[in-house]
Amino acid sequence: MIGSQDEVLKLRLKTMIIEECEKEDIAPEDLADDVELFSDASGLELDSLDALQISMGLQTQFKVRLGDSKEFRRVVTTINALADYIQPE
Amino acid sequence: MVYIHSVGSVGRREDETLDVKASWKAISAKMIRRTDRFIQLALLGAYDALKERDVLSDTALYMASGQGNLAVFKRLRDQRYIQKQPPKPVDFINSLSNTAGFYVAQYFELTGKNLNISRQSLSIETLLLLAQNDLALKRESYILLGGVDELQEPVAFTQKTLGVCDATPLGEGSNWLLLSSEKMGAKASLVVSKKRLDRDSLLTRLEREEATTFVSFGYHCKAEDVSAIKALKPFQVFEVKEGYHETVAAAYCTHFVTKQKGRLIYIDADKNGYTVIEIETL
Amino acid sequence: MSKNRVYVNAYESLSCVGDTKHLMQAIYNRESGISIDTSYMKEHKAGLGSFAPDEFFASLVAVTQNVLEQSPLENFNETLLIVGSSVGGIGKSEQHFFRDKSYKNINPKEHAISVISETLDTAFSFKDTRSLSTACTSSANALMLAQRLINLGAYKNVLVVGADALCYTTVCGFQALGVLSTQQCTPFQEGREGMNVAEGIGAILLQDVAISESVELCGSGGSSDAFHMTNPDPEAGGAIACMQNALRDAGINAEDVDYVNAHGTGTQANDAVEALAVETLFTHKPPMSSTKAITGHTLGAAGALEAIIACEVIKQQRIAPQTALSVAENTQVNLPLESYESTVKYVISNSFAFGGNNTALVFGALS
Repeated sequence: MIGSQDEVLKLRLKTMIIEECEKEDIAPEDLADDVELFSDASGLELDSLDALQISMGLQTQFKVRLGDSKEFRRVVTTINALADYIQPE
Repeated sequence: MVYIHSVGSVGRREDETLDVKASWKAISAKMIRRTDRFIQLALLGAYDALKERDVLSDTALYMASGQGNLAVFKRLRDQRYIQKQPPKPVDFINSLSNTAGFYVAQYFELTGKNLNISRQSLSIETLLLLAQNDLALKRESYILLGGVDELQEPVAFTQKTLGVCDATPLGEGSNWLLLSSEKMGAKASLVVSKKRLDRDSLLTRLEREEATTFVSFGYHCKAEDVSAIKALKPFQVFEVKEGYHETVAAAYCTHFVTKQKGRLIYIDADKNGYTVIEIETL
Repeated sequence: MSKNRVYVNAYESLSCVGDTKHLMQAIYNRESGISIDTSYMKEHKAGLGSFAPDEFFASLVAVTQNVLEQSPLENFNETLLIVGSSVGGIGKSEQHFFRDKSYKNINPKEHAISVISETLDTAFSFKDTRSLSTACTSSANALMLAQRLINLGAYKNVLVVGADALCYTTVCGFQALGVLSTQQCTPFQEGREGMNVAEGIGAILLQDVAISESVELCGSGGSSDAFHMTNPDPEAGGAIACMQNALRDAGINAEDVDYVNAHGTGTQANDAVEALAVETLFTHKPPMSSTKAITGHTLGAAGALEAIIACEVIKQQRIAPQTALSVAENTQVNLPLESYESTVKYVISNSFAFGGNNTALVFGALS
């Protein structure tokens, strides 16, 4: 199943992002699948240190290793896009 | 001589509890993210010192700690060798000595000098001397000076590493003083000895004090020093309940200003001799 | 209050390019001491600066002994020691941990920053010691503190030692922040990759009397960004403020500065903001370079190591070039590619740390 169709994977991703960025006041279900995570619309108010924490979370919990910040910006856009990257089919 | 314009104190003895996170969250839910208990402890004490007054943005920040943020070092090692994971960025950042100082500066919007000093024992005396010098030289107009130490569990391990005997109750604390060379509006005056005193000069120095002066003894004073001083005059001994930690001298300063009126001589020592902090409430 | 003047009367250093003599040769000849390493992180290459196989604590004592021999002093019994270090004894704790796979033999007394001052105090018996730890500004702040104490007449002699060893905590920590370069770092270069963690020791004797070889420590200034824990203020407010404070303390104007020894770590964030600060403050475009392209970033030791470089630039009247630069990101600052002789009266040396902790020092030739 392609990642964006996999509700379990998406919930895991949202939980990881909320935990790594210490945004516990936001519930995973409040985080939309198609909103840009690093935009104002997400309500997460993430910065570059959050990007590093997420990158580490992806590496340790999802075995996804992103080479540098350019690759990170390409891959980590929305929950749907990230899920598809992790699970292409 | 410098003047204490405000004091703040948070701390506990080992047999008491202190929910640092909940207390800080109640003050600033916004600045809870990325801060750990050591940083929150620093913030709580500084907040207590500044909560009822305005602070100038060019106020300098001088902070001391005996052990620093030891908990984060343990966390970093656990990540690498037990969980076999790379360090978390936020933990690495929090392991830097000046991180707690950064959060204090950010919370109070302080853009002046920001220092972190350590000296095994007598960290607070060293920091007070630096502040006294900088205020005398008019390098700074206000200095926010704090001592922060967190109690590491298990207590028996910390007793061993600090080299204190089983009978000494340990504690933790975050004690802060807002200092200036300006007397107007101050709560107390403070003088810290510039040079170490030998035993004879210490006793001569104390002989000049009135019997109404309070005295306090730092952990490194020997029992025979304490009895010799008590034999001079019937001084009252001022004690703080916060157990021992390496920046407890700051707790004597803050507690005396809050709880007592009069004059305090706080004495401590190292291998080079005795130091004296002299506080007089105004 | 009239203040005592402060003179740099003796110094020595050790970095991945060797002692001070070799350091200056490497800087002027643009020969980097960085090597590519995989021993700290099997999965990542990193450019690091190491002086192994020399043992760190033995080197610390040897460098200090060398300063004593050069100095007018017979011993350090009447000298205050101020140590600036970011890592302190963490390396020792790591060794215990690797051997035992447990915390039980980690001694917080060996772990602390003060282990460096205690090692030196045991060897030389100083009048008193203290340690400063503000990450990458540690030994710059130690020099600032030493200057204040001599200004005030509290001490006649102060030895400042900046010292940081390579360890897993810093190498892996900076890797986790995504700021390590896999190659030799390229300060101020467009598209630069990041920094090189390195080890270093710099020991400097400051006194209140001048000798014929003295360089003067004329001024120092500090500031806080209070902006973000890891990112500098993008408008460079903190970096500009600390340099202005240092110039004011030295009693000189920005246009009196003949060379800027930049902090220049090679990271995107630092170099962009520092170049902007220098561009804004120094409109006469003095030559600027980051010698971290040669030594790597020696963290808490960098302030002392680069203070020594500033003194050498004044003594040799020769500008240190920018190594490893082909296309500069900011073309409004003057980054010389070759060394050249020049009249150098004043040098400013910058140190910036995480937590927005900024320090600048001004050194001057004796008039």
